[in-house]
Amino acid sequence: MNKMNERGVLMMRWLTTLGAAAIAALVTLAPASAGAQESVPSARSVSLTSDRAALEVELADGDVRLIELRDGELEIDGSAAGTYETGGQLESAWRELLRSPGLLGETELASSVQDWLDSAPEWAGADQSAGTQLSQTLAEMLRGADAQVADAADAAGVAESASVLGAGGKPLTIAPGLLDLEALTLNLDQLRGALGRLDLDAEAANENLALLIHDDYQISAGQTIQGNLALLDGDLSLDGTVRGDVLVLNGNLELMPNAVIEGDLVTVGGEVEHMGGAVMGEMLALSLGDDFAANFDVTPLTDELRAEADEMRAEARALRDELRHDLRAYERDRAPRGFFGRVGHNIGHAVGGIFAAVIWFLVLSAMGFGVVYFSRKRLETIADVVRTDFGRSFGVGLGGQLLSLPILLVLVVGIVTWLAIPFYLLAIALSIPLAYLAAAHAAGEFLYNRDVDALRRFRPERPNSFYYVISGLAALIAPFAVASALHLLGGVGPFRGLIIFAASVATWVAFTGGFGAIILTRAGQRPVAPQGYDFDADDSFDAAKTGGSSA
Amino acid sequence: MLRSSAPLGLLVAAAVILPAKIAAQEHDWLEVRSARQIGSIEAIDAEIHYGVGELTVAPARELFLYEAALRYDAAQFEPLREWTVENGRAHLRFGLDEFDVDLDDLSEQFDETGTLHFAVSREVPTNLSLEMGAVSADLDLGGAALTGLTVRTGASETTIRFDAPNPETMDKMVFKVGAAEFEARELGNANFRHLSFEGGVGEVMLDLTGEWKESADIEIKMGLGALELRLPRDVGVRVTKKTFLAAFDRGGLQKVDGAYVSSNWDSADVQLNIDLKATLGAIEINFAR
Repeated sequence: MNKMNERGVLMMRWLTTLGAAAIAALVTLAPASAGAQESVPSARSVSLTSDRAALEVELADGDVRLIELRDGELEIDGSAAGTYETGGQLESAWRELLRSPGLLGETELASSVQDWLDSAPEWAGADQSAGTQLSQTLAEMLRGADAQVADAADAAGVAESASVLGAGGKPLTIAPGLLDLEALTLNLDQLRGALGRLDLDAEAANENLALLIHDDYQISAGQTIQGNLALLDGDLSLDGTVRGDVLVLNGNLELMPNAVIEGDLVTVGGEVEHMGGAVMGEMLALSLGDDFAANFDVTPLTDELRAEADEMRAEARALRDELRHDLRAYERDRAPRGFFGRVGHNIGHAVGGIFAAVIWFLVLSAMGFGVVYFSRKRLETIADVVRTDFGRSFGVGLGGQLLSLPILLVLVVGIVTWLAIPFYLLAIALSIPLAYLAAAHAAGEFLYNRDVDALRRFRPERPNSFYYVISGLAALIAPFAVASALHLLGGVGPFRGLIIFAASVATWVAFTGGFGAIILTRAGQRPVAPQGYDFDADDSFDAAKTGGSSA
Repeated sequence: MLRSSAPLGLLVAAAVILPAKIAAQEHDWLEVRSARQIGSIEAIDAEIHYGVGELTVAPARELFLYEAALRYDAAQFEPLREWTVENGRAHLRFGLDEFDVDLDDLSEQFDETGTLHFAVSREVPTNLSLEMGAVSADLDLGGAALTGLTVRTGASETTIRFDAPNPETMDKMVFKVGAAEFEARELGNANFRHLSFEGGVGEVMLDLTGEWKESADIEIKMGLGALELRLPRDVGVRVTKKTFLAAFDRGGLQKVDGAYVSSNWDSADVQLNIDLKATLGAIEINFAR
């Protein structure tokens, strides 16, 4: 962004200079001819070899230009400017000119070149590009830039133009000389912001500014502006050559077939109509606001694309609305509350959390009742392994969880195993609640055997699996309810989070143990003795094997 | 559950990524056009960078080296416009400099999107590179003089068409597609020697019909998604594949020595060698009617 600001500052300097120049023009209003340069060229050297015919010319202002035909190519000042037929009409005529006696004299050069131009044919065919460019360049040399402007002013019927000293110390012509300073200032103000956005070498443009136009104007074919041209408002018909940049500010430029702009063409807030012509640099346009599309010549979007874009916008709007809704909820949640607001908020959270825990407890209890009622032996077998050999159960359960997805992938890849996939998924689905209930059973039995004083009032004389499952579920779910209840205290968020984390870990550990025990006992079908167990000392194992309960 | 967690995820992302301010940002819509006539330029490397909006690419008018028109929000984006010339070869970078979008201003972004239109020369050999973010792109490259084409897209909908032959020959054409819908039609007119396609997630259609001038190698790497290959009948086609958990519909190709070949493989003047790698997806091969 800083870079852009710098450009803006540079452009402001240029604009300031333009304004100052305009004011100066009002003060020093004078005929254009008064500021015109006397530009009489003279030949410095002529070089004629078998493959090269070159002329070096010094202009009145000291500039040196080198024009040469070499190997089928016209070069002007070292740059390729066109092609010609080697040994053809153009080369012959050019060599004849360079062989003219006395060409190195000032007057002789001008008259010889003028004669050459007058007698030159309409270059065509292979000689066309080089011949046309060569004629144009020679014509330019014979005329000074300011004289061209004066000619152009006459041609356009403009009464007067004025010449002042530009920022680069070079003459700056303002046409027409009479100007509406108020309108010019308004234009400058309107464009001040816009120009800063364009990546222009404003200092160079400022120094080389040769012609400032602020009304309808015309530059005819064959006329040349030796520097930059700025069009502030008004219409310019350009059919000649500009040896620099053209800046159109709120104006309209008609680029005619013979027009040549050797630098950039920059348009801000105006229009350019291309009737042909050549712009050797960049054509750059900047538009502000909604007026851009009206005069912008691009391939239009198809109806299909527009429909797709509309669809995307509709989806984006739906997403936006959803996001807004959540943002509002988020903001509401974060909004500061009064004391009663905070209390109400906390009570709501606490009641909601406890209610959810109770619902989970009731649902799992109902499932536990069902399992105990229909498959008590299996549940007890699994729970016994969880309780008596938890380490092994946990290890096997963990391995089982890690392998469950790869096993599924193996079943998918082996096409013949596809039939097993539904059974595998069903087994996984059934094992999840069964593992949790078995872990709850084991936890309940563990608590009963611990004979905790605080729980003695809930301790039956003859416990059974129903009791173990219910008490185990209560033990596993209670921490979540306690954490929810802590909302009532407020300000204990970290502690509450710690309880929820610990309860979640405990739930996963218990489930994993239950899952491992399911695997070890083949879903409760096969009792498993803990490692290092003394079979002879425990009758319950034999009882379990024969179908009895260990409880 | 998924429906309720998705906005939550957005919310979290918004809270982490975005500045705290919620207020709508001022917009500053600008349009910049840039064009150059052919002049003495012999070749051009054109890089187009565009993050959000609608992109269209088409052949330029006669005598134009390129034409570009960018409409963008100057409050959000920095325009990119660089031009250098070395030994008659030009290098152009055009578009938007930064892809970051302020999601605070999401609604307004989608209410009014920016546009970029770029036109490629029909006469001067152009090596075109397009770097796109979340863009709806329509690239009509038929008749453009392309010596190279690279298209990189993020989450976008992209359609590429070559409805007229490329007057130049492309050594390499590269498509790198993220999560996107991508459709390339009449690639036979693109006149390339080597095509590299890398697809992430999405639906992809590569239509290899068109006027083939010479044989070509095509390398396709497809991630999670559906790929449809539409093959011309008048050229020989040979497909080798390495797939993992990807369904493969060979169309009318015959399996010979581990590869899938068309019936005219041995006799065809123009042969397409397609190397296909895909994971978790579906590949469907069809012959054009």
